Amino acid sequence: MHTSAISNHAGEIRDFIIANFLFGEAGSLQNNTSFIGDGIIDSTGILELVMFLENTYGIKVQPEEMLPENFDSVNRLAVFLTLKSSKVAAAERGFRV
Amino acid sequence: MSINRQPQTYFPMSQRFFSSDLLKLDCAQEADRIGAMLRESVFHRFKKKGLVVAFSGGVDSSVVGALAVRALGKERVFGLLLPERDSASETPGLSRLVVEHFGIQYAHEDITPILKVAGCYRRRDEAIRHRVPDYDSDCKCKIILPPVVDSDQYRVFKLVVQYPDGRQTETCLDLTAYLGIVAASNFKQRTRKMLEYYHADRLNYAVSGTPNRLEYDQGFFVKLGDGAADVKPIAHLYKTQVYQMAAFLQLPEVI
Repeated sequence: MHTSAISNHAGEIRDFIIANFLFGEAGSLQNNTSFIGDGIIDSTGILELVMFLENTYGIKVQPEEMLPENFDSVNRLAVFLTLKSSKVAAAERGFRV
Repeated sequence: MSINRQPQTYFPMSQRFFSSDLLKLDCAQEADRIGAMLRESVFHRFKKKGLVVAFSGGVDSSVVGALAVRALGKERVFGLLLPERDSASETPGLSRLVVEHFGIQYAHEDITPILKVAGCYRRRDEAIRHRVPDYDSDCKCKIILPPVVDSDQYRVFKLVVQYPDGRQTETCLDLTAYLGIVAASNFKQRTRKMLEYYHADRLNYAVSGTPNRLEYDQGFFVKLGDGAADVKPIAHLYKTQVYQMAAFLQLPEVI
């Protein structure tokens, strides 16, 4: 159900990572490459990722959601973002009924 | 220059596995080794007459001061007390206690005026208001990190604000606020280092840094602030070992 949304988000996230952390050079970045493990992002970079998600997609990332399983690769981030956005959209629809 | 990374530790044959005993120091031997390094570096490599040490009232700077006095003589160690508006209230008293315990010459220079002119406090408060709009100069604040062992989540800095009426709030720092607060706060360490080198230059002394091994290894210092020095005598010692040295050097218990 979320497959196309995840795929779209993955593309946008990948573009952001390449532009802001790899300075235009994708190199060997795969969508399952570990950001922290491969030294692509440091702790300040995590804050930059959070700011990107919140400003671009209108979500609010909670401290307890800042986990490697949510943030440490393009794929993980895309899944987290898609599920988070779905929950936000569902909550908004609920208020409108 | 930092001393060679391997202090002389002793562990018996029966304990060749990882344990806290690995951190046990032969303090007398290590103090002698550090002292020899200080004399070689300060007198012979740098051709300087002594060492400037800034004292915060904490155990790291106190151990460095004690090692310097032991190695070079108290007449060749100059102490600096460099508090500012936000320093803990006990800092001036503790640091004065230490320099008087050593019997060294020292200067007390409050760096608050310099920081005000540089806009340190104003810039920091502006960065804080990015996240806490009602923060003003009557409030107090500190930055904290959650414990590393409680969960897998990335440890993100939080700002704790205490209002004049005693209320406290806790807010996660976003990128803009975090970088702004760090950049403004770094004025403090760089101003201190500027004064350390002023006194070192006028006395023809070298400047000592006081980082311990964790701070040095993890980069927990301000570049060209407390990260700058001519010698760093305890940069190879873990905090546990620094406390062992403090006991061996018979520092005041309160330190």
